Amino acid sequence: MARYAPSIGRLITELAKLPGIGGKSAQRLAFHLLGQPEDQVSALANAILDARKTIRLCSVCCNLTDQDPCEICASPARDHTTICVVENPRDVASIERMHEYKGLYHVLHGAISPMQGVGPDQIRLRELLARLRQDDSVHEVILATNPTVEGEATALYLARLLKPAGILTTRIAHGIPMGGDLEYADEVTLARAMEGRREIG
Amino acid sequence: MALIKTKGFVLRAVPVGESDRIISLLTEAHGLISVSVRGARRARSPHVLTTQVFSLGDFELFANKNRYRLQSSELIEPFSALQQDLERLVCASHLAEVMLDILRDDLPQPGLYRLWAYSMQAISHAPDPLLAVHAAQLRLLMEVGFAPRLDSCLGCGKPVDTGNWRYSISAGSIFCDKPACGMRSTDLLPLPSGGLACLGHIRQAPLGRLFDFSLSSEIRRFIIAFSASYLTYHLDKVYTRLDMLRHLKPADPS
Ligand SMILES: [Zn+2]
Ligand SMILES: [Zn+2]
Repeated sequence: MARYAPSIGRLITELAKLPGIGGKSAQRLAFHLLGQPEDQVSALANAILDARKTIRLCSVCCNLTDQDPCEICASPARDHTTICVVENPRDVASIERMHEYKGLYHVLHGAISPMQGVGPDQIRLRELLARLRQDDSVHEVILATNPTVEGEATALYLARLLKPAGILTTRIAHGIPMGGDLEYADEVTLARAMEGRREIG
Repeated sequence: MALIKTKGFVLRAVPVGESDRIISLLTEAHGLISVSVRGARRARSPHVLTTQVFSLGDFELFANKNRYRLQSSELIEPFSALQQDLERLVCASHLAEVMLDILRDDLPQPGLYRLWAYSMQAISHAPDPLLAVHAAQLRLLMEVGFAPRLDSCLGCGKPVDTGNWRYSISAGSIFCDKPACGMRSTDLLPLPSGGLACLGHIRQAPLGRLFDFSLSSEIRRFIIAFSASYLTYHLDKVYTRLDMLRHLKPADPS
C-alpha cells in the first residue's frame, strides 16, 4: 500500500467498494476529486447524501422514488389495470424509454435464484401478492423478468401463483433472446417483446 | 495460445463487470475449467444462451496456460425443464454446488462428467427430482472415494443377510445386530433392509439405469436422510440450497 495521508487512504478504500471500481480506478478517482474546487466536491457529496436520504421504495410498486406513492403509481393518466413485473429499477427505466407502455410496474429487486441462494422470500414478491389481494381492479400482470434462467424461473413461479386468483398473466415474448438482460435490449426489441406477450402458467 | 474444442456443461455462470460472464465449464477431457466470456449478458451476444447456467454446448476456447477465453459456442441442450419447475432448478443448483466443491481442479474426470450428464437428464425429467438428486449425490460421493461398506459387518465381518442391520455414517459401514458390533459408533441407526438394497443399486448400477428405481415412502425418506448426512459428514459443510424446497408451496394469493 502506498504511503498516502490517512484521509486519502480512506477515500480510496471507500471508492474501491463501488461496483466495477478496482484499486487503480479508485486511486485515479480520488486524485481527480482532490484536484477539483471544493464547491464541486461538496455538490457531489451532497447529491449522494440527498439521494440516499430522500430515495426510498414506493409503498405500492417498490420502485425507487423520492415521493410516495411514486410518480407512476400516483398518475391518473396511467392504466391502473395492468402491472408489469420487472427485476430492478433499471428495467423500469428501459421500458419507460420506449414510451409505449402505459400501465403500472412492480419491481421485485432481484429474481429467484437457487444458484445464489435467493428464494421467493428474498425478493419483493410478497408485496406484489398483497397488492393484488387489495386491488381487484388489476386485470393483467405482465411478467417482464429477464429472459435468463433466474428470470424464467421467477416468471413461471409467479404465473403459477397468480393463475388460481384468476388474473390474466402474460410473459413478454422472446423478441429478446433468452439469456440476456432486459437492460441491454434496444427499444424496438423491447416494444416487440411487449406486443408479442402471451399468456403463461 | 491454443484453440481447443470441447463439449461442456455450464455448472456456474457469474456476472462480472458491465456485461461479461465467467463460467465454470465441466468438460470430459479437461475437467472443470473457468472460462471468461466477453459481453455474454448482452441480448445480441452469440453466447447469451450457451453460457447460461446448466446449458450443454459445444465450445471453442482460447487456452492460455490455465486461463480460457470463449471464442465460439453452439447450444446442444438448454435443459429448459429446469426453468419451468423451481423444484427441479433448486435440485440442480444443489448438485452443482456439490459438484463444484468436489471438482476443485482441472484434472479430467470423465466418470464425473458422465454422471453429471445423466443426473441433469434425471433431475430435468424424473417424476421425483429430489430423490434423483440424492441418488446422484450418493453416487458422486461413492465415485470419489467415499463409498460405504455395504457387504459385511465392520465389527465382526459377518456377511450381510436378511437380519436386522444398523449403519453408522461416521464409521462408513453397516453393522450386524450383535451388541458388541458398532459399539464405538455414536451415530448408529437402524438400517431398513430395502435401504441397503437401494444403496447397493446406487453404487453399482450402470449410469443409464442409476435413476431407474422406485421406493416406498419409508425407504425414500431413509435414502434422503442418509444422503444428506453422508454429504455433510464427508464434505464437512452445511448445504442449504435444498432448504428452499420447503418454502416453495406458498399460500394462495387470493
Ligand atoms: Zn410506485
Ligand atoms: Zn457384527
